[in-house]
Amino acid sequence: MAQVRLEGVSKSFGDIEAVSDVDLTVEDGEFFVLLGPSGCGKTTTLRMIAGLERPSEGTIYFDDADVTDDEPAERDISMVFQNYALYPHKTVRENLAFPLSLSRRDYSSEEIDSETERVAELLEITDQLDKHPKNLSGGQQQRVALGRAMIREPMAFLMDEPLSNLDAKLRIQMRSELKRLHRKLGVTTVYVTHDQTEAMSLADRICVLNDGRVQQVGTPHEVFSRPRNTWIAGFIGDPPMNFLHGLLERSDGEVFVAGDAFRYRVPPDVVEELDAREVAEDVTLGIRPRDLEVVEDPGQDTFPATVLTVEPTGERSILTAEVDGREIKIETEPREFMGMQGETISVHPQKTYYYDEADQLATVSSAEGDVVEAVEVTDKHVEEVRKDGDT
Amino acid sequence: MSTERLESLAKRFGFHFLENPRQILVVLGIGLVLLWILLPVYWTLAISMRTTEEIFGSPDLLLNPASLNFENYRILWPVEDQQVANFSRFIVNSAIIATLNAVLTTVLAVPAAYAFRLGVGYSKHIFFWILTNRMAPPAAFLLPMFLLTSELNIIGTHWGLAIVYLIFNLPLAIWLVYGIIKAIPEEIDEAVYVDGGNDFTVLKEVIVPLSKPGIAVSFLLVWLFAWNHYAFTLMLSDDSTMTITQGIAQFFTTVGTSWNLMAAGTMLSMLPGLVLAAIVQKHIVTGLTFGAVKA
Ligand SMILES: Nc1ncnc2c1ncn2[C@@H]1O[C@H](COP(=O)(O)OP(=O)(O)OP(=O)(O)O)[C@@H](O)[C@H]1O
Ligand SMILES: [Mg+2]
Repeated sequence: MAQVRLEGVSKSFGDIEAVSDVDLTVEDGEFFVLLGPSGCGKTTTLRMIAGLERPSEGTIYFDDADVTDDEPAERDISMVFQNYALYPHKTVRENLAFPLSLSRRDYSSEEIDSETERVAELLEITDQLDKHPKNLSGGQQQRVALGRAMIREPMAFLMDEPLSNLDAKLRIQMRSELKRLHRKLGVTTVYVTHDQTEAMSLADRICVLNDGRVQQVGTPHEVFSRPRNTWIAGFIGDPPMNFLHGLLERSDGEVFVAGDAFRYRVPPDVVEELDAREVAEDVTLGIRPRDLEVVEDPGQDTFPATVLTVEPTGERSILTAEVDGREIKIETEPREFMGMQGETISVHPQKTYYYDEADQLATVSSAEGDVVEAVEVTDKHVEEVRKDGDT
Repeated sequence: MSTERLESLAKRFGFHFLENPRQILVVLGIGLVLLWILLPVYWTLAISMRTTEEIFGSPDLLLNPASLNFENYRILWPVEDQQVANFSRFIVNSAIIATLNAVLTTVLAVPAAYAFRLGVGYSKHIFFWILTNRMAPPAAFLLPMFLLTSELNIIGTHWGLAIVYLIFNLPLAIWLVYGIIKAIPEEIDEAVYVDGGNDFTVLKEVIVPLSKPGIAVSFLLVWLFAWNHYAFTLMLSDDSTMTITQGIAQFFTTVGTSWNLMAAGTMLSMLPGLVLAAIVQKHIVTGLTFGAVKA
């Protein structure tokens, strides 16, 4: 087990810079998730940690050893590939045993057998040991791929979207399985995904990547509740955060954000923060769809919004409405919004995010409604995991 | 016999598919192709069982089972050690040369093809250059190879010919095997690296087992090319290493041609190839059951 550290790592493929100047520290024993949209450089970053790709610039350390120029075999890592990359001509048993047979440590054949059995039991594939990979279901192949990685105790586990080929049910099941395994083995894990739910539920810390650059590193809670710029804010959360542009106006000790068609009074605690940070006139207001509430009467802390469409999704309805010429999404209780197309309603944000001219998060209003439930659950989960790890 | 009984008999022997007119056409088509391929073979067989008089008379199309004549084969397979028509020796010589060559070719071609897949050095250019070896007719290499093998003192030996045949067989095998192994996803190589292996582990544990059917086909083709080759043997073999192609050609002389002996020799020369093909075919089938790499 080791700490994995990237310092100023970049990777170019010809003219394309896939990864730009990444600094990261994955702590020993941490479950670290690389999250970002397709093509943002997640796989490339992971492959550089594995040694399958050489950085164009920068240095990679395992603990204090510089491994930048080491071959994968010298790094003692194991990896789960996105589409498994099982050895098709080997049985499950042979697939699992293979890393042991290549290990620098000499395993006796009894040891190899017992280790194979142990891993197979852990992953519940004991019945499949003598089959070839092509005769297994996707979920079983997945578990073989995991087993092949887990049979050794490497310096780090690297996983590239290991659950992406599974159906929803199995994915959720395997997710908790992974969490449990990590708790049990405590091996440093770098996990790549573009699925934010997966990232939120698995990670000790998340690194959000976009366009080859690190956007933010933090706990799931931090990333969700204090997204550092509007890109992250728009990427994390579903439906994505709404943004409104406006100018700060001060009158009689009160502060408003004003657009062409709205004038919203900023909560007092935010005013202090905005003043303290000397935020200039231009601001972008961010509001999550779930933090918007449809209210009866217009007021100083509401927006007028024109309803465009209503999508009832069962538990909730998603309203699409227009504010100041921009489309916003509102997540509400499924009330009778049908037939409201074209009407103007008043919406009240319970929590607002403020971004300055440089697209940096200035402050977040302390919510009237509270921190979002999903994140609370995740956090509690992480706490539990930590406690478990201690005992 | 009742009609039902006839029908059930027909079914049992697989004739039921002829019910469909389209299938009749398919069967006819296949039949024509078979005729095209097999008629010359049959004709050679027929000639090999006839005397010269019969051949130059007006022989029946069909062989008469009552007057099958194995005399020609007997002449080719003499008991005593005679030089001119010692076909058992020719077959052994050809088999040694072809097998040596096929083994050499395969042992060199598989790692070479793997190196090209790895893309080491200037492999793109070297890869193309290798193919250019086949652009000249083999006979163009006759003189240089004569000089080379005599310098190396391997002229007139089995090894000499086995090595010289690499000129045209190695490029073919490399291209064939490369075609097969480049279809193996590189992620599998990477899995080996991550599991603690190097390029040689990949070659041994992944490339060779996964491309076995392709390697088997390449081995067979290369073997057949070596077996059937003629031009080089004229110059590079001596009496003790004379090959079957030369043995057959002997009957074609300035004084006349012994068509029936030639035909018998030709028939004999086809047998080992058929046997090898049958063996290799089994490998091809087992190879195919390994199936796909991805789910
Ligand atoms: N071998 C390569 N040659 C050229 N460009 C590459 C190569 N590998 C990756 N890229 C480019 O680098 C960028 C990042 O790719 P990468 O595979 O790391 O993305 P990713 O975040 O893993 O995306 P996805 O979620 O779709 O897997 C992409 O623009 C991709 O086209
Ligand atoms: Mg990827």
